Formats: sequence, C-alpha cells, structure tokens
Amino acid sequence: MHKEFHKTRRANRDLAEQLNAVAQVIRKHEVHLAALLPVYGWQDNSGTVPPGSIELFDLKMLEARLKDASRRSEKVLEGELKKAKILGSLRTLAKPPSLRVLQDLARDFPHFTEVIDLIRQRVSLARVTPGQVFLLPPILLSGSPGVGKTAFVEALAKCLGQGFCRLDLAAATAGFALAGSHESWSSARHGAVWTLLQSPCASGVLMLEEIDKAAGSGSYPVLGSLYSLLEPVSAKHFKDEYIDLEVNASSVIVVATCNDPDLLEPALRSRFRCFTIPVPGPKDMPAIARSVYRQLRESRPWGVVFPPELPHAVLDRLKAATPRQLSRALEEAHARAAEDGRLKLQPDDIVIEDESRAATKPKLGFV
Amino acid sequence: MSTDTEIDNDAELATEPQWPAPWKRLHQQYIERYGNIRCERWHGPLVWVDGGIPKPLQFDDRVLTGLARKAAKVMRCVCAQCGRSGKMRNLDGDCRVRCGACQGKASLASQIRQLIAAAYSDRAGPFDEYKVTWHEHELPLLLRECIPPYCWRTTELPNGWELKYLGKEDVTTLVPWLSRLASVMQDRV
Repeated sequence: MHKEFHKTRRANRDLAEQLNAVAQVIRKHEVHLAALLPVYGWQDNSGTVPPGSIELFDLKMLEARLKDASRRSEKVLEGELKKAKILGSLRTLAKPPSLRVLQDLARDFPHFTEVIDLIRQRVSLARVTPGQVFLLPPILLSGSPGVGKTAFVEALAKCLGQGFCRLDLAAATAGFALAGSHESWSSARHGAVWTLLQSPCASGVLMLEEIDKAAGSGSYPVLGSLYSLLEPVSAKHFKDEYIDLEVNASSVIVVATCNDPDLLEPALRSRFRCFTIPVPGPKDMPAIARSVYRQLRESRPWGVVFPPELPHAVLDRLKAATPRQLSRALEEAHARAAEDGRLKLQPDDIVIEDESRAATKPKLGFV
Repeated sequence: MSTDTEIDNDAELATEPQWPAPWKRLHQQYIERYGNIRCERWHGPLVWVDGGIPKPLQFDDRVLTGLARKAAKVMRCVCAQCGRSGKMRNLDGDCRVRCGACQGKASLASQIRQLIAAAYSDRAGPFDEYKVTWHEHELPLLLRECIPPYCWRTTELPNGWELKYLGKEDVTTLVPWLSRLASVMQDRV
C-alpha cells in the first residue's frame, strides 16, 4: 500500500514535470504559434472568412501602416502593429457558454434574472448559428450602489472565458482610455478596445464602470468614441486614434454599469439594452450570501479553516444586508469568531453596519 | 586487453561525437579514474550504446569491467538530450534515457504525429468505423492540454455536464498548427 502510494506520487510528479516542460515551450513560442491558429489555414486557402470568426482588419492596410511606422521609427506603434500582424487578421468569436454555467450564474445572482434570460436567449440563438457564434448587445446595468453589478459582470466574463478589460469611467479624464490618443501627443498610447482585440478571440468583455459619472472637458469627451463602438454598423469601422487602423470591433461585448441612467445622453442610452437591477429581496439573500461566502473562502488565506457552508441561522441574519454589506459583514464575523477561538460562525458574529448612518456626517452646532 | 562482448555494427560507442556532452563528460571521468588506479591511460571506450541505452563493455581487466559497469549505470540516469537527471523511458517501443521535460516534449510530438496520422487515415477501425470525432478523454493528457480551449466543440449532456470533442475537420484545420507545435517540441524551429 505504502509502496503503491509512493509509486503513484512519483508518477504524478513526473507527469507534472512533463506538462511544465511542454507549457514552457509553448509559452516561449506563443507568438509564433498564435500565428498558426486554426483559422489561419482557412485564410491561406480560400481567402474567405470561416464561420465562427471575423476579419479584424485589412492586412494590406496594416502592412502599409507598419511600413509607415518603421520609416518614422515609432518603436511602440511598430511593436503593436507587428503583434497584430503575427496574430493575423482573422480572429475567432466566443462560443456560447454551457447551460450549466448559466445555471450557476443564475444561482449566484438571483436578482439578475432579466439579464440572465437575455443571455440564455442569445445562447440558444448562437447554438443554431453556423460556427456557434455568441454575440451580446451592449448592456447597461443600473441600480443602487452595492447590488452586485460589478461582481456580475466579472462573473459573466469568467463564464465566457475570453478577454476582459475594465475601465473606470468615473476616473477617466478623456476619451483616450477607450480609443487611444493621437501619436502627436508625447504620452500617446492605444486605447482599451485595441488592447482587448489583441488576442486570438475578438469577443472580449469590455466593462465600463460608472458610466453616468464620466466627466471630461468639452474638447476631450470621455464617451465620444462609445457612440461608434456601440452602433453595430459603425463598430465595424472602429478606429483607435493611436493605431490609426480600422478594426471590426462589432463583436466586443460591452457591459456598462451606472447608478442613474437618466444622467446619460438619450442617444447613448438608446444604444444599450437597459436593465434596472433591483435590490435583492430577503428570499434572494441566502443564495447571494452563499456565493459571496464561497468567493471569500477562495480568495482569503483564512478561508480553508472555516467550513464550506454557512449555518442556516447565520444566513437568516444576513437577509437584511445588501450584497456589498455582506462581504464586509462576513469578513468581520470571521474575525470575531477567530477572536473567540471558534472556527464556526454564530448569528451573533454578524453585525450589519447601517450604510446611511455611516455616510452621514455628525451635525455641528447646537443640538 | 581486448573486449569480450560482441558489438553490433549499428551500435554506437559513447565516445562518438554525436553523443551528448554530459555522457561524454561522464565517460571521460571514468577513463581518468582508470588512469589514477592503474597509472596508465586507457584510450578505448568503456560503454557502448544499444538503441539509446548505455551498456558496459566486458574486459579481461576487472578494474576496467567494474568502471565500465559503473559508467553505464550512471549514464542510464542522465538524460541523453539535456544532461539532467533522467531515467530509461519507453516511447512508442523506443527506449531512451530522458528527463521528465525531454520526455514530455518527445511524447507530445509523437502524440501529435499519431493524431495527424489518424485524421488522414483511410483505414477503418476494428468495428468497420472511420474516426470522425475525438472526445476529450480519448486524447492523451499532454495533447489535450495543448489544444486551444476555443477549438473544442461542446455538446450538452442531460445531467447538465458538457462533453468536449474535436471533429475530423477541426483536426485537419489544426494540422498546420499541430505540425508547428511538434517541430517546436523537437527544437526544429
């Protein structure tokens, strides 16, 4: 028995060594291998775009731009264009996620039913499409702070398993972050859309956080480039100002979050499928609490010492919290339990802070 | 002194220039050890290599025989490709001394060759069937890990799980990439 155990362990270690070696070689030659993606053969033989992929840019235009960049010794731009050339002009599109994954998403976010229904319909549509192409229209999630909008978008991106780029528009000063800045600027750089498209799959998820709080001076509007990105026809000719090359960004999945959709320009709002996310009710909270607890256990080093499931009494206590309060309350409850020398939560450990009271300043003057 | 063992014409001596530097270095150490013991220099080989496996030569001198046996034993634990610690491994009936990393690369190249051969094969299987799909569990682990995730086709199973597979046309489309991967694994890029 003992001998057999060691034999198995040695074999596993050996297999791990083999896998590591193979992974290292692949990583080393990644760029060259990426140039030989499955679609590459199609591109060479027939010149037509196969089902399940799109032509991101015109290769001849890219080569002309590359020549121009190398003539002007623009090293950074040249590097970006070379990288794009190696990846090839044909890119794959996202395949629909499995129903099981959607079931998990619906279980963890029970108050996002409408959005998940839309995704489920699009999955069904993708399954009858040649090449099983999964596309989503631009989505705007609005709702009060802390209902779990950001967490949902992150979970959705994880389900799709493709590229993910998060852009906090509340902190953006100009539209450069999205569509790049002109190369005449000393700190010129490409935007988030180009970064997202520089992968074998062109259906990455672009998350625009706090879109209603996007500010910018009149000369440099933050949301200016979004108008063309969100319109399917104009998105096919999206241009990053730094790269200065038309790319087909129509397959990028754009999901924006905001607190007040009325602050958005009507023209911009009409480009999104708008969903108002309700504050989860007491019957939704146990599922959300379980999901938050699972994530906490996975992400925190102390997670392994606590049991995998929350006791029912604790779940009942958490019904009054919002998703944002949940995470804080659970973390603090674990600290309290540890202080008492327990490795199991009790309902008394849960203290839900009143956000409205915490946010208000103490009044000055006579009381 | 003469060697007692009959050596095939095909077998190669460890001092041949095509043999890896670590093996040559080891062999040289044992030759020097003989010089230290007997105060005379031995100019011939101590070991011959039969199908990738070092084997000791037999001598009338028991010191030489002992050193040859030890040299062959140590060489059988040194990877013939990179010189790291290895062991005798069988790959498609071919026995070689390799470390885990070199074995991984060689296995993957071999698995790719077999997959490509199967995809282009016009021979029917034992039940008169032609291979048109490769399920994930049918492919060897190394090869399975190397297939890009977006290349897999999936089908839903009734219990909510999904079955991943590659169709024949997927494999034929992957052939340029797979061939390139096999070349990379054999350092032929």
